[in-house]
Amino acid sequence: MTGSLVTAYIHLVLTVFLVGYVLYWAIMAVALRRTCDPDETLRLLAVANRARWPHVVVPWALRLPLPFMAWAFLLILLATGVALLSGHDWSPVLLLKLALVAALAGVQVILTRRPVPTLIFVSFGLALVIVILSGFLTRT
Amino acid sequence: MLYWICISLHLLAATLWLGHMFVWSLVVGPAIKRVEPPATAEFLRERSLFMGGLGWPALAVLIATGLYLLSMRGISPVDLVTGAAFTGNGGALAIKLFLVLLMIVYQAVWGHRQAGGAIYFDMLAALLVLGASVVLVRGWSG
Repeated sequence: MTGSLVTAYIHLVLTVFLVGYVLYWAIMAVALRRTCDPDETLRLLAVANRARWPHVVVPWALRLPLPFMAWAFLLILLATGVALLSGHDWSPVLLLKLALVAALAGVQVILTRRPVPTLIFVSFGLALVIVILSGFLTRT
Repeated sequence: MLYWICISLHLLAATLWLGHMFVWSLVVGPAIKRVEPPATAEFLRERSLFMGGLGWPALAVLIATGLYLLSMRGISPVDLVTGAAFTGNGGALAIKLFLVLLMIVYQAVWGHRQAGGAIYFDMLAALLVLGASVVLVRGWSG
């Protein structure tokens, strides 16, 4: 087993976590908009955004707010992604993927401060397109 | 082109299904529990579950695209049944499909109900399936 195999594995697992994270916010935004008015939706999204992980063992002050989890996923994906780049040509698909990753990080900057449904859906869409593009970059 | 589309769909279904399972069970579910007041925590938890799980739709996509991708490697469903697919370098495939079967059993038995400790075995199986998938694509040498 080589380092690149482990790197690819970590990249895949963290992709799963990041997609799950943006999916959570998308489902939350849809669910709250169905039952709450826009102001209450924004308030509840902000409340959810302040939730911290882990919920036990670690003192409250050391627990990570949920958006920081997304940043942790993104940073590990960035590190492993850079390590995996050596095996790839700079194809248009790869460049497009990297541009969308940058856009996702930009959207995440805003969502870290204030989660709003529109940007949550943009974030979800970006993540799905990035995964689809990744399929086209997979080795055969 | 169909081959690449199937890889993308396979990846998309896997990340949505497993991401939903991991993030709800390990990250946001526990984190939301501690939101104050508890009534808001319960409301948020209930809202986050309103769509149910993604297991069966994702499995349908994964099985269909998985069978197609195996056929592109010269492996037919008959080879899976007879075991011919698992000879030679088929160890990773054997491990992956065995674990996927366990996950299907979990999905059928527990579905969206409280699974207790069983969900941790399901998540471990999922992590191993992802590992086997990486080996299938890149080989043991990476």
